Amino acid sequence: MEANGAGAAEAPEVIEPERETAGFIALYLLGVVLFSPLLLTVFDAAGARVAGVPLLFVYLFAAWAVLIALTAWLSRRIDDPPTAAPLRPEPQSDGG
Amino acid sequence: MAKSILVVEDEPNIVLSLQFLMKKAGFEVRVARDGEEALAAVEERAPDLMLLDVMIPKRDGYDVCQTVRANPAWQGVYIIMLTAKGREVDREKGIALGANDYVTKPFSTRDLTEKVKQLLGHTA
Amino acid sequence: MLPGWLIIVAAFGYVSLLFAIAYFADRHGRGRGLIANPYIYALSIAVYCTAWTFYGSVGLAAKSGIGFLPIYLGPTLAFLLGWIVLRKILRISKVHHVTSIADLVSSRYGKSHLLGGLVTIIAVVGIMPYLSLQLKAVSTSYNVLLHYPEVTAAVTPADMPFFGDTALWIAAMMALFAILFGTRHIDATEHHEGMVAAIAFESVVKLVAFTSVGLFVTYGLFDGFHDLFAQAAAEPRLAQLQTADAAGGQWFPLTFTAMLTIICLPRQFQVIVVENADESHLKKAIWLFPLYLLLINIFVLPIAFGGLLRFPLGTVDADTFVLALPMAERQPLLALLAFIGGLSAATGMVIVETVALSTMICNDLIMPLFLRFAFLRMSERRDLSGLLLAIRRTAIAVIMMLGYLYFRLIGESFALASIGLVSFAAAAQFAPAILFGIYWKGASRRGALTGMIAGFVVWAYTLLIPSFALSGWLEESFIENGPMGIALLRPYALFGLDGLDHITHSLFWSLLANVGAFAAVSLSDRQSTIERIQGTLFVEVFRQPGAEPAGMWQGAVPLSDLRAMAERFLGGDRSREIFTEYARRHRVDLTHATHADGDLVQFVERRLSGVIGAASARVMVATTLKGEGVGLEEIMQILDETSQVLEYSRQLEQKSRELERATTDLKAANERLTELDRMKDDFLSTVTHELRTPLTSIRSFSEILHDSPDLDLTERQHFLTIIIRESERLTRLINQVLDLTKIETGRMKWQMTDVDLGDVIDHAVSALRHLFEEKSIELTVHAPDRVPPIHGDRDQLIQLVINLLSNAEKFCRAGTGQVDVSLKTGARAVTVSVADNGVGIPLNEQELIFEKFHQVRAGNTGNPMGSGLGLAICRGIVEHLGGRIWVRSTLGKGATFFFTVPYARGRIDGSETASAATTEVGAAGS
Repeated sequence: MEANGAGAAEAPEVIEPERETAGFIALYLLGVVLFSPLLLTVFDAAGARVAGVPLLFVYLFAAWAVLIALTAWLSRRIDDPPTAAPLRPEPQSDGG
Repeated sequence: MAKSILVVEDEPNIVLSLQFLMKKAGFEVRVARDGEEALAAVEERAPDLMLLDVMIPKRDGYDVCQTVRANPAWQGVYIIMLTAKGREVDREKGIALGANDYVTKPFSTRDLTEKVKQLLGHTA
Repeated sequence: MLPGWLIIVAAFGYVSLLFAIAYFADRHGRGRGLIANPYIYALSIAVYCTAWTFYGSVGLAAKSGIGFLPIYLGPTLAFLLGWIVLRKILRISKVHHVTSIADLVSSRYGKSHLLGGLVTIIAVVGIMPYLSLQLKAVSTSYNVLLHYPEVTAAVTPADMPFFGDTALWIAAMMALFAILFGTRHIDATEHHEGMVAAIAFESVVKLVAFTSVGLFVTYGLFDGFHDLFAQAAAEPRLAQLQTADAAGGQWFPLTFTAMLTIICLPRQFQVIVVENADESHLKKAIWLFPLYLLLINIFVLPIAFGGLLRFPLGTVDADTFVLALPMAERQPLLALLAFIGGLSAATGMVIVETVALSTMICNDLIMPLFLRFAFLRMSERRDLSGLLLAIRRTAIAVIMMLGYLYFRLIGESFALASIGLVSFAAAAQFAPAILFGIYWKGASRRGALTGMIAGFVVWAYTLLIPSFALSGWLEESFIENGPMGIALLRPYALFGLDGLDHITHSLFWSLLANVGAFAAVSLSDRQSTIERIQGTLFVEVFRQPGAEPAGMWQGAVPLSDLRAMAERFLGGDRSREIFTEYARRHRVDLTHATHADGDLVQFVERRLSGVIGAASARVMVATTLKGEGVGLEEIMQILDETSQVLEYSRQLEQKSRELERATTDLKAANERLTELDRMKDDFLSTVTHELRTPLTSIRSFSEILHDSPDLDLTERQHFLTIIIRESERLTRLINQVLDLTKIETGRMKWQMTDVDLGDVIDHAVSALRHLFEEKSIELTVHAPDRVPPIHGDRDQLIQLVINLLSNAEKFCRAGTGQVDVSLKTGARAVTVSVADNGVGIPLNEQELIFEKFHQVRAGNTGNPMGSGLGLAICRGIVEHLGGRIWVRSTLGKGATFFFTVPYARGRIDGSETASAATTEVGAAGS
């Protein structure tokens, strides 16, 4: 997306994008829930194993990995430009 | 019937000289020494001509002139204003108020007598 | 065999490698983006994993299963909010040039040095345990390794002689490393590129070493995870460790605390905020760092279980499993690698932490103190950088010494993790001040101060001091029964809150005290202006003009909002006009557009600035479009503009008032001038009139005499007399006018001599005597024989008396008239009076008669008695001589004129020595 007349070389300061903020907060809350003692007890079935590893351990690390992945995905979206404006003024000889 | 002249002047010596001149010219002379006296005299018997000094006590010459002229009964009274004020504007004021002529002091006695005769002789 | 020297050589070799990396990075990486990349950044944040991670996690896992995880889950969660919270802190720190936590807090709360110093002190005291734990880890691991291949329990440091104490040497070494890495020069931005590079490298080494051991344990000692955990499950006590219960009640508190401390630990603040080169690096760091944490923790549980399975209970300290397992399996290289890994973790922490702390001590504690002491003349010192470096190096040494002391006193009583958590709880005390500070404008300095002090005190009481007791330095009864036996104040069970582990208990009370005091004081407090400004600047850092590139409005903006805002300021018609103009100029159709692009917004902004000013226009556009209220900074901007305008208008008003005053003055002067002019005209016309009147008589009678030769003699004589008299009158008048004019314009040439007034009176009397005799008016003179001289013009004085006498004569009736002249000598002046018994002067004219041309007439008609100038001249003469003239009269009963003339200068009393008076000059200072 072309910057409005300014040199596109400099990375334009991005105004705080609201969607990503909401996303991060959502992820955070998800994390809190996933790692809450409540959910831990759910996965704390004694004897339950995944490939020999206690379910609890697997769950914790899996949840952790998922959160990381989601964060990575969301942070990548920060780079996306917001929807471009439909108006593109044609350059005029007289100034604005 | 001799024409009557009313001399309105407060300076005694000037009154004296005017009296002498007018009497010598054959007119009847009455004297008033201030504005009120003058108007009273006019009312009593309208003169044929007034020699009216401007700087007189009570009511000044312009006032008297205006009053006389305002009264249709006294239309026929000639008024010659005498004054030490010689500015053009004063003269015009006098004429504007209805005076027939305006003479500055010191005046020429001959000229004054001449003027009076002319005015009064006119109607004679 | 692993001889001690080999270990030492390996250690030094590794450190040298670190130095080389740091040096290289400093020299060549600076500013070239070698170091400034997000991966290095994320790795440097991994300095979070210290020897605690390396050794202590395993130890903790061996005791409480997954209970070691919260320390790492917390930061993961915190970094989820990293793009929101951390970015704000980053921005604030960049904008306000924050170089440490103390800096941040002190700057936020009104640039308070007190707060900065407090944060520094808390940080130093709080981190002490953390440092000592690194020392303990390294010295313990060294000692363990020394005994290769025998794995024994760690040697008690207390048994060691002081100078043989490896920990001391290690502490000294670490201090040296820290000094060399972090204090080679003073950098204004407090960037230490070399250090960051070294730390990043260390993080890699840590990860590699730990994972290597983990792999070894899992696949070397066992047949993979499956096998490992199955064997563990077989043992009851180990099986228990595989449940959630094992973690105990610490799960949530630790997670929560770790979330806070990821930014509150000085070294974390240093690498995340201070060393940050580019805000955008945060985008990668928020998931890279948690990924690192995940990776390094994968093998904690396997190693823990492995160790528990391999070593009989109680023989080997679980904290040393990472070393002990390779050693027990005769893997010297791996053991050495593990040792290096642990060393790496420890040195990394020590270097960064001490550098961060020494920066705080130098900038926020020592220098403010120095600046207070004028005698040190800080501002005059040119070589401050040398002083600063010296302070920092000393600080590092002192900090390490403190860490070592703590280690010796307390160290071996606790497990590594426990020690670490004490520091965590301390660092958590900064969190309220920081987090509230960046989100709540109302957070006040006093609130932060009270909160932190309260939290710190509670922390010290519930964690730090009891640790001394448990190590034998304080009475045990202090713990058991509370101070002086007060059970409610038991350090580990404050106010009866029993049943919590020490850390949770302390966290609860300290944070409660902190937040409670903070909120209470802030809500009831009034902030100073600087606090409010800083508060707004911090909380709204993203809405600073600096946040957006000048003049550029990016992003989509709803057109309706823009229209509404334009209408608000320009009115319906005008705003429609400008949108139409824009559409016409840029040949776009706005009727169906939903959004406005940057150009249109800028266009509107410019139009708006014509109405409300440039700064205000920018602010209004910015805030209206974001739908938020106007902040203080913006208000200040608007106020600034407004106050400038007000200033101008005030000045304008002032000027216009002055102008008014000048105009009024001018008008008054003009009026006076006009008045004077009129008076002059009046004077002239009156003089003219007065002159012409006698002239008229003279001329008339002259002509009459000329034209009437047959005039009788009496009349002729009469007329001639008139002529003569009027000529005299004329002459007199002319003289009087001239005299008066000269007196009034000050051009009279006074011949000032000493004059005898008695003599003057005599002269005047004799000059007019004939007049009085003619009218048979009695004239008397009363004067003393000798009159003291007065200073005056003799002729004028004679004229004066003549005038008065002639007036008196005029107003007296012939025959009955009486005029008396009296002279009295007073103390300072002579008083002369001329009294007549004539008609008198009415009261209302007694002042007027002295005016020019005021003629009192005898009766109401008749001749004026004079020119009207006589008394004016009298007054002029008298006043020139410094005297007074006035009249007392009753109508019908005559009038008395008085005038006074002061004596010649030098005479005050009325003594009669006239000759003495003339020569006596100067006694009164003439």
